[in-house]
Amino acid sequence: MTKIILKAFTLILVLSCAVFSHQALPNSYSFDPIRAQKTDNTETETSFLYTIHDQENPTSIQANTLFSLAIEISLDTENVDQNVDLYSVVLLNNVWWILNLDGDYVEWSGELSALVPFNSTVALSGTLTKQIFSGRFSLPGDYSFFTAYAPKGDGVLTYTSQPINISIVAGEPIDADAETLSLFSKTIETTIIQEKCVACHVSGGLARNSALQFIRTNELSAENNLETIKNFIASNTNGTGKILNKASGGGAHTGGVQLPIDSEDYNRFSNLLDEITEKAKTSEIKNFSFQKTTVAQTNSLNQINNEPVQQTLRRAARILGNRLPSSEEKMLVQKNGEQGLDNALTSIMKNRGFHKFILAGVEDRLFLNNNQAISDSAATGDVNYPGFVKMNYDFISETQSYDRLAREFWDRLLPAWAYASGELVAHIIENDLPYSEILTADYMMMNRLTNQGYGGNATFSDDEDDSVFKPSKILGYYLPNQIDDSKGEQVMIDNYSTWAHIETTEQPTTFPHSGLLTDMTFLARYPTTATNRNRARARWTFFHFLDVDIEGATQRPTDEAALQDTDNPTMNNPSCTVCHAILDPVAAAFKNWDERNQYRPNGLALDKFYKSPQDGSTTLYREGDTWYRDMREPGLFEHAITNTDQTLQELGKLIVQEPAFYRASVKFWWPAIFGEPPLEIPIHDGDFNFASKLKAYEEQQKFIQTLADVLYQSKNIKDVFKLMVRSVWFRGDSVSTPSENPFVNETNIASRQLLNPQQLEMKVEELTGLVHARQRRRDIYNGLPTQFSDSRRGTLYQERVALGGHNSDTVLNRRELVSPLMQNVFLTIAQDISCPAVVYDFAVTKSKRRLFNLVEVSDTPENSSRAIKDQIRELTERFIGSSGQDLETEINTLYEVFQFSVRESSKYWQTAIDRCRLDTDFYGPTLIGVDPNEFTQDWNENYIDLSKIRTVPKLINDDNHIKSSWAIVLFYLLSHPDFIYE
Amino acid sequence: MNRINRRSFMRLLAGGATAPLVSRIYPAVEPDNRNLLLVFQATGAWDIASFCDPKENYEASQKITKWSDRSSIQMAGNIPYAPFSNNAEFFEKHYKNMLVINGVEMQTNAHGIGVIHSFSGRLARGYPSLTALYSASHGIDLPLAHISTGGFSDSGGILTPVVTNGRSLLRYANQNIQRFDKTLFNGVLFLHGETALSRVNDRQNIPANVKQYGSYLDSIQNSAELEKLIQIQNAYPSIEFGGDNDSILVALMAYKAGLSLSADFSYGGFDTHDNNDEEQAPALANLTSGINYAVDTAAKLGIADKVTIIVGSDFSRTPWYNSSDDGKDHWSIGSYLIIEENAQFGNAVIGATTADQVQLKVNPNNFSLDDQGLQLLPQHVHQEIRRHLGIAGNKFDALFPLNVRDEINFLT
Repeated sequence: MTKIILKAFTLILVLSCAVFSHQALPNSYSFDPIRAQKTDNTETETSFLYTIHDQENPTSIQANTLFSLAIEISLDTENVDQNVDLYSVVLLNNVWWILNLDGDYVEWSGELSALVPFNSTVALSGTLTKQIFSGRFSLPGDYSFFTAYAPKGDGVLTYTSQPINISIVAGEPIDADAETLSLFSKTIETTIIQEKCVACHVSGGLARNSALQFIRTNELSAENNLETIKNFIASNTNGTGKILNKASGGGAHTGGVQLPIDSEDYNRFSNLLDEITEKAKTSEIKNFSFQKTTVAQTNSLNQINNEPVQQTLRRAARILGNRLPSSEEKMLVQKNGEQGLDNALTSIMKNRGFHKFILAGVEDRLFLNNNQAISDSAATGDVNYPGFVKMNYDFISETQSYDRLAREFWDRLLPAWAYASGELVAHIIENDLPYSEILTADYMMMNRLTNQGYGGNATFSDDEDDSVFKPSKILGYYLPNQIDDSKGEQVMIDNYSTWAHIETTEQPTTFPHSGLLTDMTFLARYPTTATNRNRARARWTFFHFLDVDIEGATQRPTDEAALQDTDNPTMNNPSCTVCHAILDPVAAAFKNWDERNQYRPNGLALDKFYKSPQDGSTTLYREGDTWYRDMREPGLFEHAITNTDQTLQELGKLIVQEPAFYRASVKFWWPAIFGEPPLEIPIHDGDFNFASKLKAYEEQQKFIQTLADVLYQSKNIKDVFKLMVRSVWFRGDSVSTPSENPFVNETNIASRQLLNPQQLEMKVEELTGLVHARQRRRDIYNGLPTQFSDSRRGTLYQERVALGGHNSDTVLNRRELVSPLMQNVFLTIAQDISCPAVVYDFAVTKSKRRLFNLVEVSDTPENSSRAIKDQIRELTERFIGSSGQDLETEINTLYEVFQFSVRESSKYWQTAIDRCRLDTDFYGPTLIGVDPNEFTQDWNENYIDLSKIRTVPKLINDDNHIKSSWAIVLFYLLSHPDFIYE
Repeated sequence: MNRINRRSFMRLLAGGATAPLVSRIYPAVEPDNRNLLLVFQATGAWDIASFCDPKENYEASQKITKWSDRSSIQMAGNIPYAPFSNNAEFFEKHYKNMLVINGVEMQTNAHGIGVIHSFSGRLARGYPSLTALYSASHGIDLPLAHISTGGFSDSGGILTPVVTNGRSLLRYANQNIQRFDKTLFNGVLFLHGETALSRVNDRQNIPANVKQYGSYLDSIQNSAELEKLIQIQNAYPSIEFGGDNDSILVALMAYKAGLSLSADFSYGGFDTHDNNDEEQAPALANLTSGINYAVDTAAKLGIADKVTIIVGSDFSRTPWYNSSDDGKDHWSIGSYLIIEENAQFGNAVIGATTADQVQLKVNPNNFSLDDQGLQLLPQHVHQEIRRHLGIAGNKFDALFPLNVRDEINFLT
């Protein structure tokens, strides 16, 4: 329908020949009536009559001169008494514009869905007369006008069968406006707007609630920023006064003094604002500039084609679920296309793989698996947690070994703390709880160890190991004044001093849980000091949960005098308050958590040197103070936090009420889905590809806002995940026109993503049943295997930095491209894994095999080529997911490789099976159908000692070289580029 | 998709080729061409008053240093230093080959921005590190062109750093990763290279795709090159692994093997808001120990005169102790050290600060202190280093301009 209308308009334009008639009235001109047409091609008697007022010749109207255009619609009887919407579009230089309700002509895509009326719900009588516009056209050119109307709720348009043509010729510029713009561009735009205001008054900036939102430097920024100021003045009583008042530090301007009163900048700005105000008063003439407001002209996202939906399913299953899609999920998509994809995604977002996705996603943003940071604040020796102290004492008194205490108890506890935050987020997401609970949950996630130490209220059964986390509350926390040290007992065991007994005097203190904000590891990751005063915690809270990058706002030279200011600059110096006015109240909200990340209410967390300065200076501290007097009080933006004990709980509630929380949440998960972080706003207009970067950033922000709106409504982040996967940002596969597409140039859209080390590890384990590890680890404690311990992780985890991942400590950025080092690690693992994977799989009955369900070792190219090819096909589809011609090519190639290996292996003094690195140990699930005692150490049923393979002839026998050849096939697939890129 | 045709593949396999799939000969970088650039990053903001811009207390001021209660500023040649930590050994060892640049205004006291400004030359994200810029300029095709072991190593999109602690590099450089017969092994890699190449060719209008599969193709072709590290290791059996400086050793060996041109090293522990002296001392000792090791080991490898070392930090620390009387907070004036054997610019100091660590301006022509002179910024330092390293004027220099109006050629 859309294209019909556009084509109709265009065709008519091409064929039409405007017929002019001349009216007798002075300063006006009427065109001949124009018959109407309807989009449903039915007949109509309606006609349109255009009249120009204040001009006599439509072919030579001077630019910037006033005229108006009116339409008289003589209606067909069928439309009388209907309520309709009126539309006006104009074609200028092959670009369509449409008149909106504000009386402005804005760019129109030509899509029916993008039609907007300039007058809505108009009651039709026999003849309708309406003024379309009155104003000045500044851009010379040939304008072709069409008008239409459509009854409310009816998609049928009645429109002019031909346009009227108005020619605007060059005229005198609108001096006043041009002069103002020139003055603004030269004296205000750069020195004030760009250098001062735009630090905060910009999309994504700190002044997110201000009506004054400017844009950074580009070819149209001066015009647009001036327009922003004009609109503010026009829509605010005493708008000029308000702007000047705030800029000079009044009106509780969060940015402080930017233009001191009577400074040169202030006076210059004031003069310009006065000029704008005066002109606004005297001139109410509308000016139509027909200037584009965006840098790029085309919607380049539309040029990107999506991949087939089955391919999307496969990739989504790998990324979200760490597995292949199930048969049922494939069927959903096969039957119902994209709707089926939605249901399949619901299925994928369950079980272990999705759980791992969430844990990894949280870790990749918060970097909490940092043992050093956790150890520094670990609670095992802290008397505030008698439960942990008792566990500590029980262990060392039994073992009499400090070394074992550190290695077997503390090391076992570290993952429990490291993963508590991730487990909290997983619990919320997997149970479809409101996503805001990540900051407001009045509980935390504990495993059996931390539950015992914290005195938690969760219950665990004997067969639940350390990897099981449950919601629980800290019920065993005591403040220093609730413990009687004189009645405690300290002992020394193996040169280690520990408490054998702690005497508590009161009931434990209520611990004010507030989701991630009160998580000990989150606090440890962003530590505080006497002078930092929680500012680092506040900075990262803003970044992760409020989409405010405070450090990003400092990417500008800071005044040297301000940097050396010693008069409490965070409170008094404008160069500093611009950020600290926002930052410090949130920092203050952390006031009840000290440097060891422990809860210390009522001023107990205040630094002792603030209370009693060592340099002899006078303290500001007064008895009963709970916060520093030379810092701002707790709060968030304009909201004060008055509850002195539960400040973080209050902060959490305030944060989740902010729209920015939902935007921040979308950005938090963006890298987990798309494999790269969301774009940052480009800062310097002189940078290479600035315009392209800006365009890509703006479009991406629009999509992020759309997702944020969805999350705000549904509160379920899974809905966001689905939309992300279904979007062109995930599904984009090819670009139809190889033009300078900003999205393709600036993001990884339409390309694949390198799987991170954890994703690869899970992929290898899923497909082969094995996890590659360099050396065995003892990981049993009290009879329960510590499945959860990081030491049990394989080579892909241990080498995660080399493989492009991070280590949550010194290396935090992920690399997306393959280096020679990565390649060598991949090749090592691919070779190591392929041999035992083959050996074990063929040792199992065919029906229970993971890999070779279609062939036996007796199947050779001579007697079973079909079965072998079918097996290769299935393995190829599972390992690298090729399809169509690509798949056939891969199968043929692999079959050749297989044949060659079978034929030539006899010439080698050692086959692939012989050369298995049988001294390399692997972890893996117990083989079904094979007696594990033949292969395993008795203390870990999942540990497989490969050196025992040789003792079992049925496993190692490979007389016909079939197993060796299958090992080569697996090696091929495991080292294929499409195995590591998804 | 472009595939190797069946006939040639069979011929390849039948011929039992044992040579690497694609022979890529890299020009020998050492000893004829460019230096190895090593950048040591003191992360967290070092206390230069206790290092290369030493300050003694004077009556009118607050206490700037505690070491000066007992000692006074020492000189190593023309270079003053603080008698603190292991500074004496360090400056005495290197002063002849060292240029100290003091009084550089970092224009920020935010760590993240300070690091970026210090090591890229620009006060905003998006620019590559000096090491990445250097490697891209002179060795972009090298298998390990730029090695990073932590710290700021952004590439600005011009190449991919290899991030490693060094041990991984050696562990997987060994030729013996190959388990299967060479013919089959090489044949498989050849096919994968063909696949990657076809992806690059088929989807050339998508830059990310070209980068991804291009990097895969390069890695296939370069993976065997890493074996040269083992050759170097075997050629110098007296140089042992297993210590804290393995990453430095690997970087030197990689250069010696013609595989790399630059490396970054990050040393933490400098953000001493509490216990400044107690924490700065071991942090500085660790840093200077690493630099000493780099110089000594370069000598053992016969490349001592082929190494350029740059040392810097986010900014520095206040010329006073905070209320705890033990810690120091952020101070925006910083310093750099540049070390090169037999350098013409050695045994000298450029720039200075007052007794209160306030920046003094410098005459760009004769480097004297001059009230009308230049305010030294990291851009000036980077501009001159770029010129010295042969980056100035090339396409990467143009892509990431420093927009410096006044140059100061302190390395001539």
